[in-house]
Amino acid sequence: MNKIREYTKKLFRLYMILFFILGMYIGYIQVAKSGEFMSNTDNPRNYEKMNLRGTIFTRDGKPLAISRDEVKPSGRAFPEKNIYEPYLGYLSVKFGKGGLEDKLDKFLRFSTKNTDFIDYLMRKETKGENVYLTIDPRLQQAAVKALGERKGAVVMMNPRTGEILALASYPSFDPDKLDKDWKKLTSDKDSPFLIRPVNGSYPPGSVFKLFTLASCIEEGVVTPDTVFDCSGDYAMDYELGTYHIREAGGAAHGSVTAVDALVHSCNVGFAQMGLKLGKNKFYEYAGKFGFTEKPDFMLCETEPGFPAKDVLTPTQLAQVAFGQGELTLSPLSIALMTSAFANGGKICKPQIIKSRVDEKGKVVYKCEAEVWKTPVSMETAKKVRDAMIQVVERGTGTAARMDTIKVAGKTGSAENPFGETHAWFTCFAPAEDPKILIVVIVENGGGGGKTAAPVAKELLDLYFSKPGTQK
Amino acid sequence: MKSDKKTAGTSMFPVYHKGRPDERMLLAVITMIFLLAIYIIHRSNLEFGKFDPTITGFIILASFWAIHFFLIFRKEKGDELFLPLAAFLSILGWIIVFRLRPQLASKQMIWILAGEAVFLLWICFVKDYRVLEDFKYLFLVGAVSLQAAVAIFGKEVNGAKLWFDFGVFSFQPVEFVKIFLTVFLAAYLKQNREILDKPINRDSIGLLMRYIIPLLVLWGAAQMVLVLQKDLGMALLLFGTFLGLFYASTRKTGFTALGIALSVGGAFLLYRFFPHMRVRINTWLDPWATAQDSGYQIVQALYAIANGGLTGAGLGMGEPSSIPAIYTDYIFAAILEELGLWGGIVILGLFLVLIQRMFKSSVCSKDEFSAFLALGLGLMFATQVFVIIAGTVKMIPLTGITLPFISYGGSSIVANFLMLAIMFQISSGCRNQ
Repeated sequence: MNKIREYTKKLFRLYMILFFILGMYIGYIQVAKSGEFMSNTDNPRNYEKMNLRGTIFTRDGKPLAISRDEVKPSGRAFPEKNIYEPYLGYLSVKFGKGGLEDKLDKFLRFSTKNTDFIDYLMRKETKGENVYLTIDPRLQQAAVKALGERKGAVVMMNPRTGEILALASYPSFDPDKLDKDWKKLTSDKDSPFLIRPVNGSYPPGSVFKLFTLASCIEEGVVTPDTVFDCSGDYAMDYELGTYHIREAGGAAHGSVTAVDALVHSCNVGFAQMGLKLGKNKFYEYAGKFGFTEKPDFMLCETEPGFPAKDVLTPTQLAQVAFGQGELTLSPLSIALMTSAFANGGKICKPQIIKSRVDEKGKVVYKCEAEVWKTPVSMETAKKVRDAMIQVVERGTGTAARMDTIKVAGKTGSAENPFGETHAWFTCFAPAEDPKILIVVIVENGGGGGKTAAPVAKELLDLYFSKPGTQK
Repeated sequence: MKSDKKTAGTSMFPVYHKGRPDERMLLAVITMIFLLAIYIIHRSNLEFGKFDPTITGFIILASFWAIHFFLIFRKEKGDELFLPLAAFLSILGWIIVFRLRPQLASKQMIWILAGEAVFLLWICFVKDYRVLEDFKYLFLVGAVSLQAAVAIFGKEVNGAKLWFDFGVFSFQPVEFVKIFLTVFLAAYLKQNREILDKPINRDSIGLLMRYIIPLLVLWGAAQMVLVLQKDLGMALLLFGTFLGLFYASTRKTGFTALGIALSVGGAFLLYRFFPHMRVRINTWLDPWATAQDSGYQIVQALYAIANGGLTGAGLGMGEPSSIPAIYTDYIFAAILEELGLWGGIVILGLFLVLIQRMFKSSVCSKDEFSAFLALGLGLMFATQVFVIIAGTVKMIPLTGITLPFISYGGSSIVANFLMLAIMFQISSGCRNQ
């Protein structure tokens, strides 16, 4: 009996310890972690504190997302509807947040981080930061208009700094009707929430030939004048038979130089270039151009679909060399690749935040150009650029030619399982001193030179119509 | 709890005070706290609809005073802390329910009055709770058949059949099953303790097995039923009670460790093979990943708790209504939001005092059945309080059990008062010198 008593006391002591730990844990949640939980935007207690959330502006100070108490139910107003979605994102009481509203949340939301101890205990609230994007509203509006109601995407960036100037994506959604249409939007097979310019995965088609050409020139296996034979059908033997690489539309280019292969978008020539470069080098350059990793960009959520090294059999390699095969890339990846040729071989890190300003007006962050990758030398970049100029002057990209300004570009018509080819165009201008880089993709839009290049041309015309848009 | 020292004293068998002065003083303090709380709630901007149920709170308060005088009249010698602690916790529960769902306050009053009636009836008509020992198999059969019956005939809520629906009210038999099983375990352990007590050697091991195996089978069966009914909280609770009783009666740490090891293994198997368990564990590990879905409840509770901070938002000033099951399983989140860390710790402390009184009653009782019964009930109560509060603050995975005396719900409150009556009698046995 006494033994039982003794063990009963032991058990009570155990429970005392458990309750003590529990009390400490409650303290930890309720005081130490309190600030973190309290400032979370999903917290319904915060909807009345929406006035503490920072504003998102364009680069020239046009407000894109403002907090207003009278806006029901989320307290967030988007004055420039149907232009900045879907990347600007949404903020919903029911469904949380997305896009930049989500990615920038840690800056926009109010904080209870206080250096003053009394303020800390009282959990004094500090207003969130205002964020200025690198987006140029004039270009953004133009890009959305030029794309129109065609599924696809437009990226406009400054190749010298990596600043994103416009991102158009169609289809999109209306942030005001989000709560009402949520079910419809999330089940829509056209994925209106997908930020196509950044997270769309497309076979790149012929725009990828820029990569193959640049890698071959850099590696010294090809010069711009190396000649390739194109009979319109290139047969490759492999373990299951013979694989044929054919030209689009059954063309045959005869003997072509490497530059002319690009100018006329010759698949057979590029298949041979890829094989000449070899699997190992090909994969090495893919890494150098950033195709084997997620770009260092806050909106990026999709990995580039670059085939693994051991998948690159000779037939695969030959296909990937001209942008087909098991290869999918985002328009942003294409833009970054193109920027290497505009920027003397260097790729700058893509940026979308121009600056962040805190409650007291102090600039807490200012973007600075930062080199992300240096895949090729300046000489190689120049050679590729010159070839790109030829593409626009006399090749597949003549639809983007401008009278006074030299444009460097490349078209693409990517075969895909969903029907018509995807129309691609990537370009920058002025070719000698690039100020603007544009990538256009129109899903199932047909030929890149026919469908995508005119969109780029429209945007180039607008960009150069009033010089000095860029500050 | 000033008077705690006086009653508890240092002696094993506290002196009996005529007129139950400690009880009276504590009830007076509770009356003041109650009046203050009512005043505060009426000052806040809550709306009560057509009927202001404040009066039902006064009825509850008066009923506790009535019981107090009744106990004096009957010269009951039970521990003087049980009634005031139960009164404080159930009045607090009523206040929170009143504040969260005013339309449920009157119903909560009815449950509390029903619980008090059970308490009084038990004290008046069960002269000696030790008769329970003679009916131990009846309790076993009763527990198993109740549980089986609800699994078959019960009403399905959230994919689990735990309730009998009688139209006017519903009844959750598991609240009583756990008491029945504790009574059975206490009696069984008392009967067979000599065997369990022997040192383990070649001769005794067979005998020992003969007694342990039925126990294990019973326990396994109970757990299986609960697992099949997806009532993880109750499984955890019975596990704690069983293991604690087993530990105190056999004093074999090895067996106890084995029991824990088996249960951890079992939990792992559950995790592997039962998707709803996996969801629950993953939700616990990272509720933010599913903040709109399975993690919604816990995330909302964390927001509420964080909003409370050190001092609380104040009664009626928080916004805990967004949390599902806030007035039943999750009521402690509302308490933490409105009364803050201080309030939470005080209530945790009061629960600990009540638990201490239960363990104390076990320690000071003179026969083994009483000791085991009090210990079993104490272990169960303590485990329940710990499991639900720790689940509410995301220290352990969430399980759907009630917070004793505080949560809204008839079965839980009545069962807790029944347990209180038994404990009250055991504690009065301590003083029959």
